[in-house]
Amino acid sequence: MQLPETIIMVDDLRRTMRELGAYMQWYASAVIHTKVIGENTTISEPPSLSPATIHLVQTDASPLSAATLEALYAKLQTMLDSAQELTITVAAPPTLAQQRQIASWCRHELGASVFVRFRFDAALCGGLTVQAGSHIYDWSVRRAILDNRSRFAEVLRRV
Amino acid sequence: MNTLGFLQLFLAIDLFAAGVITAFVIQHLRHPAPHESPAAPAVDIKPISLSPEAQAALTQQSQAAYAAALNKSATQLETDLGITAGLLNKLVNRLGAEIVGNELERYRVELAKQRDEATRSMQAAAAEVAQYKPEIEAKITAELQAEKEQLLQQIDRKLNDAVVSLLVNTLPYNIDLGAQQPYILAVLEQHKDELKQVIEADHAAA
Repeated sequence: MQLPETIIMVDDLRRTMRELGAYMQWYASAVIHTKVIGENTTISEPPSLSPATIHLVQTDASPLSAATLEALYAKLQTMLDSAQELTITVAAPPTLAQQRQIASWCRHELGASVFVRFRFDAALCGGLTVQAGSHIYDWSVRRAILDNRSRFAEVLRRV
Repeated sequence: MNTLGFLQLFLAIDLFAAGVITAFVIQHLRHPAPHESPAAPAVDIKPISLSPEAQAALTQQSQAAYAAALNKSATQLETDLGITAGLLNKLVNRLGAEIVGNELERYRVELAKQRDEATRSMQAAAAEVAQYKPEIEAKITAELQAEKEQLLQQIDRKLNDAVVSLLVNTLPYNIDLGAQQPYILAVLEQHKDELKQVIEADHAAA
């Protein structure tokens, strides 16, 4: 199962699961209402779903039924249980498109259950830092400047 | 006893002798001494009595002679004193010149000796300095070079710190993350294996 690009963080997955859960409840009540009362009765409006949830329901729960919805929810739960979240800090607030691109790369290259949380810190000057579990990797421009501070004089002499 | 003292003594003796002689003469003229001759028969000598004028003349003659003797002695004394003073002046000048000359000569000799000694000492010191000169020069050159290297390193450190401070304080402004996006993805791609290992290790631990 491939998650949509709009699900970037674990919180996004949880929100999607809440929406799906609400939708499953509505679906079950709608089915019972239809079976008991009949098809000509007025059924309550379904809960609003985000595009990500809609996409998941349309792709992974078709044909739409309680069973497929249950199966989808189970898959999402499994994914949530094995989810690993990276915290990526960049030098400026990333746009949604940038977030999606990076999260998509992570999910494609590092694992389907990898999620990304974004932070920003202007002091980095550029580049990024990545926190994976207890490991922190500093690949920022600031770190590069500090690590190569002893070479600036040599470079300037050659200018 | 020097010449002056001898002359003074001689003069005093002369005066004394002249006085004694004059006294004897006067006494003799007034009271001549009786001649004592054992074999001579006793002669009845009649005392000679001089007239007051004769006595006065004799006295005056004696006085004149005495005065003349005194004047002569005084003149002689004056001449002798002048000669003596001249001789003494010459002697004093000669002695002074001799003494001063000797002292100056001694001073010159001592000075020359001191100068020679100082020259020898300086030459010895110069020779010793010349002996150690290459070693000292090498040491000084090495120390100067080390000092120069240290200063250059210090300058480099300060320059590095200045550049780092400038970059770190100016780069955080007006950051274009869009322009950095390819760089970010390239860095992630470069460290992909490392991140995979960490994720798998965390997953296995969980």
